[in-house]
Amino acid sequence: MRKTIVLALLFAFVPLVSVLAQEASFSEVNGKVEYQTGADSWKPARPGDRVGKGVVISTGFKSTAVLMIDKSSISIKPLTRMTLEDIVKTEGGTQSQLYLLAGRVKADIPPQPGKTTEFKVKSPTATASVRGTGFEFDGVNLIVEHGTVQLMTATGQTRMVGAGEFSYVARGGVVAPPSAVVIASGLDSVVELVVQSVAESLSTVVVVTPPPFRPTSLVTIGVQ
Amino acid sequence: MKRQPLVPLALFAALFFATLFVAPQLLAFDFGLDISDDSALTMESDTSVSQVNRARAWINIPMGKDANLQFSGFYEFKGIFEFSPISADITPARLDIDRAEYSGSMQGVYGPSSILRYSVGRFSLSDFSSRVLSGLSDGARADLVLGNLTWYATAGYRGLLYKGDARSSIDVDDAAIDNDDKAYFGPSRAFLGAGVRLTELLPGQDVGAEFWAQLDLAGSGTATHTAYFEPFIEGRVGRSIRWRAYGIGELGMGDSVFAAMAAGGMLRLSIPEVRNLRLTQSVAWASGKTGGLVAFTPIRQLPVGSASTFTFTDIVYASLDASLSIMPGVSGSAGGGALFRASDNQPSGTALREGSDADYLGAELNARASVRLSSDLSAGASAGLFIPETGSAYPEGTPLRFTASITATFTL
Repeated sequence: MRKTIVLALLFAFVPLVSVLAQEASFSEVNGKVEYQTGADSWKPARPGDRVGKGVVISTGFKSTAVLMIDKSSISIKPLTRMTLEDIVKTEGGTQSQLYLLAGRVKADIPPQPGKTTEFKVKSPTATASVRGTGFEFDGVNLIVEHGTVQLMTATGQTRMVGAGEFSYVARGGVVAPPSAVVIASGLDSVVELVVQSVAESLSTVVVVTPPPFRPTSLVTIGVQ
Repeated sequence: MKRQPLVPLALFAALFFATLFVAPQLLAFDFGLDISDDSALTMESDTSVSQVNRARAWINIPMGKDANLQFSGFYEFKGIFEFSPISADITPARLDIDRAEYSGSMQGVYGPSSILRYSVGRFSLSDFSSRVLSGLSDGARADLVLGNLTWYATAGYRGLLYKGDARSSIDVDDAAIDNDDKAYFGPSRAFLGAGVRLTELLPGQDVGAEFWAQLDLAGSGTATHTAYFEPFIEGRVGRSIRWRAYGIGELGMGDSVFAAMAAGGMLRLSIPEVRNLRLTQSVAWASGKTGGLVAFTPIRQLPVGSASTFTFTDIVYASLDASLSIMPGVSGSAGGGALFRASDNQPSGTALREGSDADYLGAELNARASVRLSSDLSAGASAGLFIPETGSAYPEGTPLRFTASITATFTL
C-alpha cells in the first residue's frame, strides 16, 4: 500500500518537473554535410535526419545546413564544425547549447509566448546567451539581427549586444564596445564591420585591438 | 639645416637587423613599406606651404602563440616655404623609430580567468580623453583583465622622442628646447600612469578613473612636476547614441604648488543605414589662470581645433561634426566649432584688443574627404577656416586663417 502511494505521488509530480531529451532535425542540407554520434562513423546528413545531444556536425567547402531545434533554426555556414552539447525541453521551454570548434553559425531563436528558449554558443574564449534573438557568430565576431545577446569571454568580461549591433572579442580577451552597423551582409563583410566599429568609437585611440578577422580561437556566446 | 642625430638611426638599424636574426620566428613575419606625401597650405597674414614626404618601413614578427614584435622606422623629407619674405626651411633627412613594441598576453596570471596583456618598447598610448597624454612613448604598459574589471599601469620616458612628437609645453625649459634648432629630442620627462575600468557597470555604461604623474628629470632649469586624476564614464543609449564624459584635476609643483582643471564630453548619433551618418557634438574646457586655478598643462599639448592655433589650455571649445560614406571607399565630413577663452588672460597667437573682456574668440569651419582607391592606395583632402571675432575680441582687420592639405599614402 505504501509503495502504491509513493508511486502515485511520484507520477503526480513528474509532469511538473519533466525534463525531456530533445532532438534536432536537419531541414536543409546543401553540399557535403556530415554528422557523427558517439563512436559511430561519420554519416552524410540528409533533410529530415534527426540528431541528439553529443552529435558533431561538420560542413565542407561551399556546404551549408539548417538545423531546427523546436522552432529555433541554426544555419550552419561552410567549413564549420560544431558539437550539439545540450538540448533539453522542459515545461518552461527549450535549452540548447552548442560548441563551435570552427566556422560560423547564424541562429534565429523566435520568442515563444509563455516559454523560455535559452540558446548558448560556447568556445574556450567566450560564451553568449539569447532569448528571442537572431544573430550570427564565427567564434570571434558577433552580429545581432534582433533581440539581445550577451557576449562573454573566458575571463568573464561581458557586454550586451543589441539588435543591429556588432561586437567582437579582441586579442587579449576584451569584448569591444558594441557599435551600430548595417547588418544586411552579415559577417561576410567582417573587415568593414571592424573598420566601422573602430570609427564609431568616440576614443581617439583604439582601446581594443581588432581581432583576427576569422576565428583562430574559440568563443562561446549564449542567448538569453 | 638642423643637426640630424645618429642615435635614432643607429637604434633603428640595430633593432631592425637584430630581428632578422630571430630566424625561427621569421617564417611567419610580415613586412611592408608605406610611402606618404602630405602637402599643406596656410594663409593668414602670410602664406606658407609645407610638404612632408615619408617612407616608413615596418616588420611584424609573431613570437610564439601569444606575443608579437613590431618595428617600424621612417625616412622623412620636410620643407616649409614662406612667400613674404621668401624663405625655405628644409629638413632633407630625418630618420627615426616609429614603433618598437614587444607585446603579448598571458592567461591565468592572477586566477584562472585572468588575462595579463603587456607592451614594452616604443608604442602609442593615451589617457582616456587623450587630453593629458597621447601618441608615442617609450616605456611599458600592463593591463590585467579580471572579468569586467580591468586594471592597468604604465611607466615611460619621453626624452627620447623627437621634440615635435613629444609636444611638451609644461614650463619655460620646454619652450627653450622647442626654439633650439640644435635640439632634436624632447624635454627629459618621465611619466607614470595607473587606472581602472569597470565594463558595463551599469547597462551599456563603462566607468573608470586614471591617475597620471609627470616627473621633470632635467638636471637644470625649472623642475616642474605634475599629476592628474581623471575619472570618466562612457556608454551608449540604445543602438544609435554614444556618449562619454571626463573630468581632469591637475596638481603641479614648480616654483610653487598649483592646481588646474579640465573637463569634456562627446555625444554621437550614428545612423549606419544612412550612408554611415555620424553626428558628433563635443565640448572641452581647460582652465585658465582664474579663481585659484592656473592654466591647464597636459603632458602632451595638442591643438583643440582644426584651423586655429589654440591648444588645450585656457580654452573652451564646442563643436558639431557630421561624417558619412559618400560611396564605397569615399568618405567625407564637415563641421564647425566655437572657441572661447576660459579666463581673462590673453590667448596664444594674435593679441586681443587692449582691455577686451570678450570671451568669444571666433569660429571654425572644416571639411575633409578621403578616398581609398585600392587596398594599397588612399588619398585625402581637408580644409579649415578660423574666423576671429573682430567685434570686441580681436582688432578690426585681423585676417582669417585658412588651411588646406592633401595627403596620399601608398603601401608596398
